[in-house]
Amino acid sequence: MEASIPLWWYLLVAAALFGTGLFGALSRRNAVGVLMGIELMLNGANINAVAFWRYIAVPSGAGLNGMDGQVFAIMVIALAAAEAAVGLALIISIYRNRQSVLVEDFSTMRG
Amino acid sequence: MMEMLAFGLVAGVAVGGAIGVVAARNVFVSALWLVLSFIGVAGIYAILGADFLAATQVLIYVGAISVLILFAVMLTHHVMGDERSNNRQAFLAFIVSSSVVAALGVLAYRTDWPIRPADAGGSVVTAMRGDPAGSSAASAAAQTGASTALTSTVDLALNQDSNVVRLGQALMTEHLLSFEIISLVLLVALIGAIVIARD
Repeated sequence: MEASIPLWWYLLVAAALFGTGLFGALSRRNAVGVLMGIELMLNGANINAVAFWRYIAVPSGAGLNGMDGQVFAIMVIALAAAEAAVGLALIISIYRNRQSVLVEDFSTMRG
Repeated sequence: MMEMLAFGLVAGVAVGGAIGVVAARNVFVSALWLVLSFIGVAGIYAILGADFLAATQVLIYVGAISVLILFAVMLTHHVMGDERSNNRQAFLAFIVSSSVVAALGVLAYRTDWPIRPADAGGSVVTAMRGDPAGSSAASAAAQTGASTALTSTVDLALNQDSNVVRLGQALMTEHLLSFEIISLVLLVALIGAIVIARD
């Protein structure tokens, strides 16, 4: 039933999400936009993890549950939440000090 | 055929939302596109059979992270007049990211993936059923009558191929260390966000 969709379709969608997020993270001037691009990239990586969990044969042994892909995806979701919280707090703090959210204005530490 | 249509729908929503995120000039609008893209990704999880993950995606991404981003956009609001939303290296970034997508797509298509045979869909369940208590030494030590009843209940749930039960067991047995570490990371990030945001 689930074999009717080839695996590489999922991988292609994940690659498209990753590439779009990469473009957003590289090209946005607004720091919040950069963060959104990073979230898109993490989502693409997550789709890969779950698709591999679904399709690829895992070596099964005693005590192994075979849920590694989903556990990995949950870890990535938790890390993305932490990253979004800290990143947005940083952006708000910088905005308070410099009245700007544009990335090119954050150049105080440039040598 | 039906699930191909469903896959096309949710994949279109996910990728279209992502393109909307990077194409919208206003950051607020692109945050709304981001919500749409997250919903599409949740649909992809649902088609893949990861129901718990789909619900988690809706709860955490659509519910929490998007609201966080919208709040940050509103708190840092400044007049975005006719200034550009992309920087000078946008064309270079487009070339780089589209070549990354092309390389990954060709790689995904041409690689001979070791696909699990279709009849072995429950192989992980049977592998798990051989050792219902997992490798948890603690549960083996406290093997009372109540815990054996619990184990048989869990075993029954495993026979029904419940995703949540297997995921919970995996988190509590073989991935326990990473589970604890991720909770510590979340706590530290929470405190750090509070400290950074209020000075």
